[in-house]
Amino acid sequence: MVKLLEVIKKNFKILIRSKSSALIILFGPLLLILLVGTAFNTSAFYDIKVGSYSPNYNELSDSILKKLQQDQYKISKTKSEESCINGVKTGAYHLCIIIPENLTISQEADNTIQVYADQSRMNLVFAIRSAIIDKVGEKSKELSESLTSIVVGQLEETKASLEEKQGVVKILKDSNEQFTSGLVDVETQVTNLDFGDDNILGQFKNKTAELKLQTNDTRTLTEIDDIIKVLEEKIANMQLASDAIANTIPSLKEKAIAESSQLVDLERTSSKIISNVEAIKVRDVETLVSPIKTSMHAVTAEKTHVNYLFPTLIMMVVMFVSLLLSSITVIREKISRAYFRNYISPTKAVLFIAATYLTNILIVVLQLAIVFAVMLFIQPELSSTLLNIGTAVLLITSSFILLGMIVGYIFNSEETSTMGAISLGTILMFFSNTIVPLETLPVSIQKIVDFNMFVASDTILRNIIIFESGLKESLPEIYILLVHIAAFIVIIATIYNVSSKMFNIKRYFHK
Amino acid sequence: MPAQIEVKNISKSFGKHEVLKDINLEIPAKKIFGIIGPSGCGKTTLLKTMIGFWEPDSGEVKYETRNLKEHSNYIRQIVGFATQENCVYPKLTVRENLEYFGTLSNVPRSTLKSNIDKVIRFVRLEDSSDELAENLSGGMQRRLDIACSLIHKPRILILDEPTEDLDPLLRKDVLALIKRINYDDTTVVMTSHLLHEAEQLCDMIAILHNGRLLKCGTPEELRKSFSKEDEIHLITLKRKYSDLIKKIKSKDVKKIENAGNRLIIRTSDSEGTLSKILSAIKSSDDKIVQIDVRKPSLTEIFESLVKKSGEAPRGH
Repeated sequence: MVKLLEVIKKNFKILIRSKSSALIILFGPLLLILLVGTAFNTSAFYDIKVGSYSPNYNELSDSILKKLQQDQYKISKTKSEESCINGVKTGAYHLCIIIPENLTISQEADNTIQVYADQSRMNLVFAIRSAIIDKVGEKSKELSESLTSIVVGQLEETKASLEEKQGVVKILKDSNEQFTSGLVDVETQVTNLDFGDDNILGQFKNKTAELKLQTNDTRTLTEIDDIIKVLEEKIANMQLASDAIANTIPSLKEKAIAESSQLVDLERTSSKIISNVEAIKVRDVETLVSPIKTSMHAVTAEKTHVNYLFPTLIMMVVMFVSLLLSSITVIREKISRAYFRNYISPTKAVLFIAATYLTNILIVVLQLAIVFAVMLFIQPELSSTLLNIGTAVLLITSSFILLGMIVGYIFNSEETSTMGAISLGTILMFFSNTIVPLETLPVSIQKIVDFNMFVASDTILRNIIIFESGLKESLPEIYILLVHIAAFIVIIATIYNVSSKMFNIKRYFHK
Repeated sequence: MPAQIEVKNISKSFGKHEVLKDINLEIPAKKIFGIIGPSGCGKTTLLKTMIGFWEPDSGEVKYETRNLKEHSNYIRQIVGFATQENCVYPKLTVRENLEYFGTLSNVPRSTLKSNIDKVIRFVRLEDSSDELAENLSGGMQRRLDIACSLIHKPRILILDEPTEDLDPLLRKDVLALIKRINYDDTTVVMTSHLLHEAEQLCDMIAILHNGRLLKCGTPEELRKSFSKEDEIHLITLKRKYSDLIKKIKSKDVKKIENAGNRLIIRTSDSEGTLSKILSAIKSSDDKIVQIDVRKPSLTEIFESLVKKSGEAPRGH
């Protein structure tokens, strides 16, 4: 134990007394986190330049641009479509929006707004493009709502009118029915009219003939005959009229019936229209324009960029500091003249390995303690996850330190070892979500990348810091790290002596 | 007396490069044992194999009858080792280096401080004890390196080229230090390519050439085994030697060389030749300025042995 402490003490003294190492390794990461923390402590995008081109701007296109300007996007109107697109290529603009000539709301108009983006700046492009499309979508929705409200209004008005006129149709239908039944009565009565001789006129004629036999009052009889003649004439006319009525009534009745059925049809149609209009359950304009709404809900409270970046940022710092620090510590010890004296001392190799590991972990943990202390000041709610964070950091740091130690044992100079550590870190970071989403990789590679220490570590920290979950939720990733740690310990134990001997053999031949 | 260190049939190769070939050495206790040879002859490899840093391809090393491989911890406890490269941490002070290596060598905390003070005094670094090692001069760094080797009071001190890269004054300093270490009954095994240095300092010398042990013994034994002749170096006032050469010629005088201002006479009877020289000078009007009787130097012995071996030194 005394020996272990002595070696750790020695390592610290050497690191601190080497000014460049102390500055770069000890204070560099803290400075980096401070700078990144300050720079990204916002949830907005600043200084996003958007180029726009339209052969002819109008009120609608200007209103879209105005909406973007309200969100701190810097809009520059270009003279041509080409210059707008070239602006994206040269980096003058982050996006280019091509608005069609006379953007209007009509069936004939082409209202496609084209958005050009530099795909090489993937993360930024995704963020801004979706923001721009949202903004244009907002304007489009406004217009849709306006158009739909007219259609819905007309529909409501039509329904109201139909409902109003349905009473009239009913009255007409009733009148028609009464008219038809009246016609039937008239027809019956007309049909029942008897203008024959057997009737009163015949009786009247018979009585007149009897009267002629009884009286010689010719004058009276002549007058009676004239009356009879007039009467006969009138009856004949009535007969004719009755026949005419009898002939007309069926066609009238037919028409009345036909009209009645039309009225019924009209009534039915209007009722159907009304019921159809009523059957339209959704008549709310907003619902009609966007029947399905998507609303993004953050699973955590709204945070600034630095909050989301924090786990990845910590991971990057942990990874690079651990890899570089441990590889440099190992290589410096290995190429140190004093290394030989260590080797020939009655001290086991495992003590030096343990001391190197402990020195590095103490430094990295110390740095992270400062970072987390600052983070706790900003986000006091993180204090509940401190124990989980501490355990995770210890595990993550251990794995990267051991990997860095292997790098140190493999390489034979500080320069190559540093290059090796940086390259390794870059590869691990490249095959993670930090630069390119993992989902863009082929499935076969994704399966391998799942075992990437950086990915596993990042996931653990994200689970704890952003989602405030426990270590249990990250068990698969923890197992991955534990397997790595075990493998690294075996490798270090194997290469520790070989590495030093190989280095000395090389030195022997280059002497 | 049994040898304190036994090196038996040690061979060591790096790839196809055979560095040590069947080396056998017996190093007695409390002596200064020198391993000499030109650069690249395998001296450092031999020492590093002796301490266990390199594992020999064949053979074994024993310390006080204990096998190195089986008792490496014990042996590392009784051996101190100082390389030619100053194995100290430049960013630690003299005291911190000693404290660190003392702790690694299992020096108890209770005695560590007093050990450090003693060693610092011993190597005369009292005024620089709180200086960073990197700020020390070359000679001081070498003394610190030796101090680190002595911090656990080893019975054997192995020094690899202890005077390498030092100026003559510092070299003298270090040689004196080695003598003092040996004076305390510490066995010293040292290598050097400076043959005259080893000749002055060592009780026993092993001559190594291209990984082979050419000869081993005391300097006197080596000289004797090499040659039974002595050299007489003579300088006279007039520095005219033609008459003198004629007068001293005999069957014992093997070779006379007129080296400009001095005459070098190789003879198998140094006493007889010397009396002839003195009487010849006396009878002339010349005077003796300087006269020495010398055995052949280690350098000459080495050169002769190398010639005999028929191998050119590696790297030459």
